[in-house]
This record gives sequence, structure tokens and C-alpha cells, in this order.
Amino acid sequence: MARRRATTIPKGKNEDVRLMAALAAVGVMSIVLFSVFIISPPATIGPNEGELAPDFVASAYNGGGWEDFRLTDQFDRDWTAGEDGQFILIQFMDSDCPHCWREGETMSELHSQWGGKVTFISIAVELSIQGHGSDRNEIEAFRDKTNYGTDSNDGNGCNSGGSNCVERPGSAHAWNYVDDYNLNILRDYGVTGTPFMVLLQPDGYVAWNQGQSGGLMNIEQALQIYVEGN
Amino acid sequence: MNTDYLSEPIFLVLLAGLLSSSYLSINAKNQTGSERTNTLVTSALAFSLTGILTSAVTYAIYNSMISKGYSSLCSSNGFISCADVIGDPSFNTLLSLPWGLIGISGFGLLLYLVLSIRMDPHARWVSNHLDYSWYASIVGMIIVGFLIIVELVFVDGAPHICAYCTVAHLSMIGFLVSAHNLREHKANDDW
Repeated sequence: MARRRATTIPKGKNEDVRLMAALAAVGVMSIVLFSVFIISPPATIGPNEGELAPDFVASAYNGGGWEDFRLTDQFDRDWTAGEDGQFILIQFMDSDCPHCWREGETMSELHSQWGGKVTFISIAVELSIQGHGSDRNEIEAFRDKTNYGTDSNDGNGCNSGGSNCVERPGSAHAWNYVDDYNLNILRDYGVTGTPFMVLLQPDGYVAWNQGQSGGLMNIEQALQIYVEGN
Repeated sequence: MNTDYLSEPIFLVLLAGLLSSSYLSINAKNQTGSERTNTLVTSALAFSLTGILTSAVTYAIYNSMISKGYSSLCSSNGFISCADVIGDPSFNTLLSLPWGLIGISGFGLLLYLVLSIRMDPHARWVSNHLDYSWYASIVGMIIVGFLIIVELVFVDGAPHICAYCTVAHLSMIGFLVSAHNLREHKANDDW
């Protein structure tokens, strides 16, 4: 009668160690994350009041040409409340939006009043609405109030393609117009329609968001309260 | 070329982790049987831990860049410049998650897979975990490839190379090699 040879293949442990391994891995990750939060706590980024405004890099038209523009280059990180500093007004606009067309004059007036204390930035978007087809030439014409398009409703020009951009209400604008035709900045700021404004403190934190004011405060009041301090 | 990193203690610690892991991986070539198994698993563990720690440093740099505009851990000019890479708002997150956080999670998963093998190398599920490690590290390599292209082509003022990110990328490559060697070793019945 043949004898069976004893097997020498090692067997695994009786208990399942996978739970212990998972706990150990989670423990390592938790310790590491906790250390990061202590050493360098994350800032809350977002478009809401009290949050750090989302940064962006995009091309901007400054009247002379298109150049790279980065929002955080405008920030004064050392600024503290009560100090003098340059606030930042971000306006989202579409050169074909009739409300933005009319707001052109308001923006001119605001800039002549607050331009010394507030940096103005217009974010030019193209909403997916019929007649809102735009290009950089239209942004330039809208900003500079120059001849672009016709007065007939043929789709060429500003204000839903129904107006020559030279007729935009208000004076020519003397601040950066940022190209956001890919709508990345619009999405980061949670903007659903134009015109839309956000006022930032000099250190980049959102002081006032039009969508959060619930209609109780307009931009003139916000500038008076946050920039002027009364 | 910016060589400030070579006097930065945190960078040197991470580099030491990477070199130790690589040494273990290379050293395993001369071994057989369970000794080789243990060395390869330890090497994979070391790569994943180095990856977690490096990702944590890049996450800390990201937080600092966002809130202060600078980080004391990295320079902001020249070809080797982590500030220009981690500070680029267009590419420093994926679905609003900083890459450092994604790195911690990814390497954490790899750590779990190899740690469980280290705790019980003869369990029935070891082959499955080796396969998962291999597939996960292939996904990791695709991400590393994408990030290297971003560094060299797409970030503001490209090309730039982030030294800390490179340590994390090399950890991923090292893990991939260890995972591959472990699978082969298992298949050869020399476990």
C-alpha cells in the first residue's frame, strides 16, 4: 500500500488579514492628511462670500492687445481688513446680452467713481443662446466702443447681433476684458446668467456676490459698504 | 539649473525613500524563494509609502500656494519649478481635487494591496491582489504620463518640472516594476 507524501505547500493564516491591512492603510493616510492640515491648512475656494475666489489664467484684452492674465496677480495677500487696498470687481458679461449692453453705461459710471480704489475685470462669455455668437473682435469692439457689426438685426455686432458695438451705452472701458468663451471661469464661479458681479477684497476673498445678496444690496451699495467702509 | 532642492531636508528624505525602495527592488534580483518574495513586497511597500509622503508634500505646497501665493518648499522660476506646476490653476486639480490628494488616495490603495500580501503572503487571494496592484499601477502610469505632458507642454510658462511631483512619478514607476516582478515571481511557483 502506497504512502501519501506530506504536503509542504505553506498555507495562509486562518484569519483574514485584509481588514487589518485596510485599517493600517487608512490609518497611514489619516495621519499624513492630518499632518498636512496642521502644517498647511487648505483654504476654502469658491465664489461665495467669505471664500477665496477661484484663480484663473486666461487671455485678456487691455486695449492694446491680448495678453495672459492671472487673477491672483491682482491679490495683495498681506492685506488686512481696514487697511487701504485695491478691491477687485469681476463682471461676467456677454457682448450679445441686452442687459450687459445696457450695463455698459453703469460700468463706465462705476469705473469713473471707483476706478482709483477698485480694479475692474470683465469676463466675456458666450452664452449658448441663439444670436449670441461672438469672437474676440466683438469683445474688443464692445470694450473700446468701436465700429463692429451693423444696426440691422443680422446677427453681426453686439447686443444679440442687432447693434453696432460703437453705439454701446457708456464710454469706452479702460480695463481688462478676459476671454472666457470656453466658459471655464463661468463654471468655477457658478454663474448661470449675465450680467453677474462679484466683489473681491484686496486679498482675494469674496466680499460680495450678487447671487447671495438676494436683491437686498446692489453693486453701488456693496462698493459703498466694503470699499468705502460705510 | 535650480539645485536648491538638494539642500531641502524634506526633499532629501523623500529622495532617500525613493532610493531605498529602488535598492530593495534591484537587490531582489539576486534572491530566490520566500526571501525574494519578502524583498519585492517590502520594495513595493516602500514605493507606496514614498508616494503617499510625496503626494502629501505636494498637497501641502498646493494649499500654501492657494492661500499665500507662495510656498517655502519650492521655487517659482526656472525649468525646475514646482510653484509654476502646482500653482497653475488650470492644471493643479482634477474635478476640483488637488493632485496631491489624488496621489495620497491612489498610493493608499496600493499600500493596502501590498500590505495585505506582506501580512499573509500565502493567502488564497494573493494572486488577485497582485493582479489588482498591476492594473492599478498601469492606471497610475497613464496618469503620470498625462501629468508629465502637462508639465512639459501645458502649464503656464512651460516647460517646467516639479521636483516633488517627479519623486511621486518615479515612485509610481518603481511600484509598477515591483508589481510586475511579483506577478512573475508568483507565476514561476517560486513564491
